[in-house]
Amino acid sequence: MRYLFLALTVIIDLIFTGAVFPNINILGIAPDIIICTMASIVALEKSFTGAAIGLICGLALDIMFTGAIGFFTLPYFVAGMCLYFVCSHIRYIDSVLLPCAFAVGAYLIKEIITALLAYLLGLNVALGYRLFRYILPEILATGVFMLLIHLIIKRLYRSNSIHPKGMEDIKKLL
Amino acid sequence: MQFWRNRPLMITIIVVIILLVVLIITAGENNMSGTESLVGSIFSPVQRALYSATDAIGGFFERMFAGTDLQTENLDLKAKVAELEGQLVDYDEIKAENERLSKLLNFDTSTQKLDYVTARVIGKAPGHWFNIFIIDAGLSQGIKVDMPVVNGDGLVGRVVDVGANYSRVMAIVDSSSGVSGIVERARDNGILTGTADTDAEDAQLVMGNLPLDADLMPGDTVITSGLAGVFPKGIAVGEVTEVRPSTDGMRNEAIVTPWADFEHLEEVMVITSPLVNIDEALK
Repeated sequence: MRYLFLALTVIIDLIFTGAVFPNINILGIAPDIIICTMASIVALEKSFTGAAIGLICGLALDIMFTGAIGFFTLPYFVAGMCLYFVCSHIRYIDSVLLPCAFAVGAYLIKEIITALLAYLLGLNVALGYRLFRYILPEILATGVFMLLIHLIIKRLYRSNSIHPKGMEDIKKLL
Repeated sequence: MQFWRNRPLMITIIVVIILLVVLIITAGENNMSGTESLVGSIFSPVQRALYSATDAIGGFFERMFAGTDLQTENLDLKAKVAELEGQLVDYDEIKAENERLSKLLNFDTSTQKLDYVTARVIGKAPGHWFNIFIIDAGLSQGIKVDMPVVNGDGLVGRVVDVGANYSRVMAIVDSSSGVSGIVERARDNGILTGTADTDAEDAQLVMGNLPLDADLMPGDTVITSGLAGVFPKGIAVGEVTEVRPSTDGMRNEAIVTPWADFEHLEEVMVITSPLVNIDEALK
């Protein structure tokens, strides 16, 4: 059941990222649902699962859209691992704001690494323009969207079959 | 010593190194591997359905926000509008599709000697670094790399990767794209490149390498020149909106607004005729 949940999470993330948000957005600004699910799961589990989701989603996006394997994979994976390193040192208190802060931080790390890779690949970076036109508004969008995503994932984690074994105490936190 | 015992950190470093190596290797490749093609073939039918559905939803909201001020209408009318809205969305969808297909048909009748494949857009690259989209036609439909992609408005882009049943198309507004263009009236040649801004809503092209005495003015039409050997000559690209000196002051450059609406791409045509035949047909 847990693996089914994780597989569905990846599929939903990919569908929203590749097909839904390109059509439904505000002036090209859309939240990063992959970062939101990663941050939410890592905040609840304090495990590598978020990084694994980022790795799989990034790989699928690379295969589908860029052909340059690693362009999306690397930033999502590193953001997932950073989330793990931070969350494993913080005793999680049932709060929505803290996971939102995780999502915002992870999104920023992902964008910095992406910009670096884009520069290395010879793409036109124009960082100042992108920062104000896309990155900052999307940070806000991701933070707000995280409120919804985290509420949904928290709710799902109440089921024993969703969260990993040995984390039965997680219900007390939820 | 403790550093080497930190397993998560070691895993991170190893995976990052592997991904960097793979990125360097795959960044220059143009051919889609078997695995890429297989993954794409699995995802593309799902994407096709969802892209169409969400596009319809996006269109509904656009129409709703652009509509009249409902607050001024009385309650009875509101109820009636709500009842009719569902029917109207269907009607608008059919009407919009009819208009788009008619445009494509016009392109078809004006270039009857061309072979082409009509395809639907089924996905767009996420983020703001690429202006690449996916179409539901690939090797099986005769699509090859570098084939020009057009719609009823004009040039859209070129095929950059082909899978079994889907292809990746780089839009002309992508910052990595380059199109050899010519101003229809003044006959000045230049290279059209996408701007750093990859947002489809305000997507523009910069036509560089123009002489200082170039006789360009806003409103001039830009077409493909056929010089680079990728795009055939004579396909409409867009309209000059601004002419200004380049940053070094040695040449002129023009800002060109493409005619294709990259925000609402739904159906496109891939020209499959060889380039020589296309030039003859467009003459």
